[in-house]
Amino acid sequence: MRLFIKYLMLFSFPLILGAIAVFLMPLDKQFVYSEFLKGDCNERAKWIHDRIFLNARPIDVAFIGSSATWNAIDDRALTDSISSKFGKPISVANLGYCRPGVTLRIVFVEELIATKKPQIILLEVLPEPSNGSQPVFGFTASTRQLICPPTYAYQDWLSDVWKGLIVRWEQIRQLLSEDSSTYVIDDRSFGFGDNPAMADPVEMSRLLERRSRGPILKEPLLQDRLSYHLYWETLKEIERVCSKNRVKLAFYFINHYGRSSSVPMLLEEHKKIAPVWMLPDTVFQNPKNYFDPGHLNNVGAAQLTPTLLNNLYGLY
Amino acid sequence: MLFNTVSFFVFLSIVFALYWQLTERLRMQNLLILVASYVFYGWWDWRFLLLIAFSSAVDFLVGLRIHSAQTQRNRRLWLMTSLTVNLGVLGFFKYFNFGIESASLLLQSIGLSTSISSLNIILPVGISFYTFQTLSYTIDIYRGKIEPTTNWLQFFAFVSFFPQLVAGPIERAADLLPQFEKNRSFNKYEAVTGLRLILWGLFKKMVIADRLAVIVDSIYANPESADSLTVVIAAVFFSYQLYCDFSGYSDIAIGTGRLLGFRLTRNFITPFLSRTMTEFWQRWHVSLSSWFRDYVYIPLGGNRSSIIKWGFNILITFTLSGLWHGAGLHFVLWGILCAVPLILERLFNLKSIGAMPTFMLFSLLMIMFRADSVEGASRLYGGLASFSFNSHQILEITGLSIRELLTTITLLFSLIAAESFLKKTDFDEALNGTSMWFRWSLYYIIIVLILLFGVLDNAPQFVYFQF
Repeated sequence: MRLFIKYLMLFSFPLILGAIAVFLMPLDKQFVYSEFLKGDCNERAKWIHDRIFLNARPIDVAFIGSSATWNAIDDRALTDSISSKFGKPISVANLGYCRPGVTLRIVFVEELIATKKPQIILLEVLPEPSNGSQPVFGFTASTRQLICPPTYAYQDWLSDVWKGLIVRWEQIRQLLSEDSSTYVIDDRSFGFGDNPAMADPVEMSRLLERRSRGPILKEPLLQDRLSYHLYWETLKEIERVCSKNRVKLAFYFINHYGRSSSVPMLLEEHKKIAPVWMLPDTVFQNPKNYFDPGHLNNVGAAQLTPTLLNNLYGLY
Repeated sequence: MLFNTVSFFVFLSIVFALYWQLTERLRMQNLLILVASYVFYGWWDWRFLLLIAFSSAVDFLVGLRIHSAQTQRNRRLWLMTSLTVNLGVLGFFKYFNFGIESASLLLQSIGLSTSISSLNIILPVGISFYTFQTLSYTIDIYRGKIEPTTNWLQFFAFVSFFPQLVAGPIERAADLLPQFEKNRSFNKYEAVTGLRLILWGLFKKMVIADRLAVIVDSIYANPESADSLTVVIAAVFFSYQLYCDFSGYSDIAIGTGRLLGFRLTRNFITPFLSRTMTEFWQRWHVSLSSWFRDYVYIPLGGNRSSIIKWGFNILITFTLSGLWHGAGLHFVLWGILCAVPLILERLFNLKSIGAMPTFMLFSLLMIMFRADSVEGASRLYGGLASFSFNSHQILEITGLSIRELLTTITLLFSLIAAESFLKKTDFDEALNGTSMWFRWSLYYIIIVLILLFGVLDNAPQFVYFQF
C-alpha cells in the first residue's frame, strides 16, 4: 500500500507542477470577459472590458458596484452635465456588474488605473457589507491578486484560486478549439442600464411588508465584524492603490426599498477609509422609482443625478 | 453522483482510504461497502434507497426459502414470488405509463374514447440493472447452480455494490457474491490496473462520447433538416458515442471494483471489430447479452430446435431486450430489427460479412434506438433515403467550427486506431510488460488529452443511466 501511495504521489508531482505553471500564466482579459463570462450579467463583462481596454474614450470618473449601480447611475447625464459645468470633456463611466461582493472591485480599480488613469473612483456601498468574494473575481483576477489577496482569512480563497486555474486552462483549450475570428468591439461609451418600466406595485408592497416584518439590522457585534474582514481589507487595499496613484476615492450609498434605516451598516468605519455620499433616501423609498424590487428605473436614476453631480463638483 | 465528476473522486478516495484500513476485518469492509453504496445511490434521490432495500430483502429471504423448500411446487412458488415482486416493481416504475399510453392509443384507434391518465413516476436510476442481478440470484438458486447466502450484509452489499450499481456490468451471484465472502487485502497490481481502466474509461467518456454527443444531439433534435450524409454521420457518431459512453462507464466501474479488491465482468470486447452481427452481440454489453441468453433464450429452447422455432426464440429474446432498454415502441421495434440480421446470417450460413458492413448495419439499426419516437426515426431514415448530400449541413446544424469538428474526428480516429491495436486485449492488460517510462508517458498524454479536449463542464450523464 505504501509503495502504491508513493508511486501515486510521484506520478502526481509533474501534474502539480503543470498546474502551477498554468496558474502562473498571464490572463488574457479579452478571453475572460468576452468568451468565458459570455452570457453572464447580460454580456456586461464584454462591454466593461471593451470600455476599459479598447474604447479610446477616457474614463475620468468611474462608478464601480453591483447591478444596483448599473441601474442607478446615469453616466451619460453625469458626463454631459459635468463637462458643460467645467467647460472641458470629462467622461463618467458606470462599471456596475451583477452581484455584490467587494473583491471584483479591486480588479476593476487596478485595470482602470493601469489603462485609463481616472481622477475619481467611486465605490458602491450597500446597506450591509458583503462577507464573501464576488463570484467572478476568481476568473478575472490576475495571478498576483489571487496569490496575494488583501487577506487570506476568507472562506472563498481556495475556490477563487481554483477558478483562476480553471480560467487559465480554458484559455489554453480555447486556443485549440476556436477558429480565428475578428473581434467586434462594443464601442458604447456609457454603461447605464436604463429601464423605463415600473415595478409591479403588488410585488413592491409585498416586499415592503416583508421588510417591515423582518428583523431590523443592527450594527454588528465584534464576531460579525470579523466575518467582514475581507470586505474591509479589500477596501483598504483599494484605498492604498488609489492614494498611491493619486486617484480620489469616495463611496456612495444605495439603500434598499422598504428598509427602515437610511444609513448603511458600519457607516463610521467606511468614513475612515473615504467620504461616503448619502444619496436622497426618498428616491429609494418610492416604489415608483423601481423597475424591479432591487433596481431603480430611469425615473429613480434621474432623481439621483443632481445629488451625484453636487458631490462630484465638490471633488473637482 | 456521476463517475466523471470531482465529487465522485473525492467520495472514492475517502472510501478507498477507509476501506484498506479495515483489512482482515471482512464484516467491517462489507459494511463500509454497503454504507458507501447507499450514500452513492441516495445521492440521486434518497427515496430510491427504500426500493433497493426492499428488493434486496425480498430476494435474500426468497433465496433462503427456495433452498429450504421441500417440494418442487414450493420451490416454484417462491421463485414466482421473486419474479412477481422484481418484475412487478420494474414494470410499475418503468412500463406503467407506457402501458397506459399504449392501451389508450389502441382503444382510440378502434374508436373508443378513454380517460385513463398516466402517473408522474420517477424512474429510479439503475433499476433495470440491479433487478436483473437479483433475479439471476433467485433463478440460479432455483436451478441449483448456487446456494443462497445466509449473510444479509454480504447480500445487500452484493446487490448495491456502487461501482456497478447503476449501469452494470450485471454480475451473476456465482461470480460476485463469493468475493464478498472472502478476505480482501490490498494488491498493488489490481489497484494499478484499476486506475488504468478508470483513466481509459474517462478518456472514452469525456473526450470521445461527450464530444460526439454535441453533434449527435443537434442532428437528432432536427431530424427533418438532415440529408443523407448528415444521417450517416449521426448514425456512425452515435454508435461510437454510445460505445465510448457505456464501455467508458464499464471500464470505470471495473477499475473502481479493482481498487476495492473485486473483479467484475468485462462488458465490451472491441465489438466494432466483429465480422457478423452474431459475433457482435457476443462482444457488446456482454453481461446483458449473456443474461438474456441464459435466462430467456436458452429456456425458450435456444438453437436446439427447428429453424422456425429458433427464429422465434431470437425474435422474442431481442424484443424483450429492446423493451428492457426503455418503455417505448421504438425500443421494441429496435429489438425486432436487431433479430432480423441474426436470422438472415443463420439462414444463409454467413460466417463473415466484414467488420465495416457489420458496424454500418449496427449504426443504421441504432437510429431507431436513439430517436425519440418511431416518427423521429422514420424522418431520419427518410433523410437517408433522399440521397441528398450537403457537406456544410452538419456545421449548420451543430453550430460547430471546422476546427472543432476536425478535432473530434481526429480524436475518434485515434480511438479507432488504439482499439484496432488492442484487438481483444483489454487496455489494462495491453500495458503489462511495457516499460514504466512508456506507461507513465501514455498516462500523462491521456490525462492531458482529457483536460484539453474533454467535456469538463455540463457534461451529459451516462446514456445507460436512463435504462
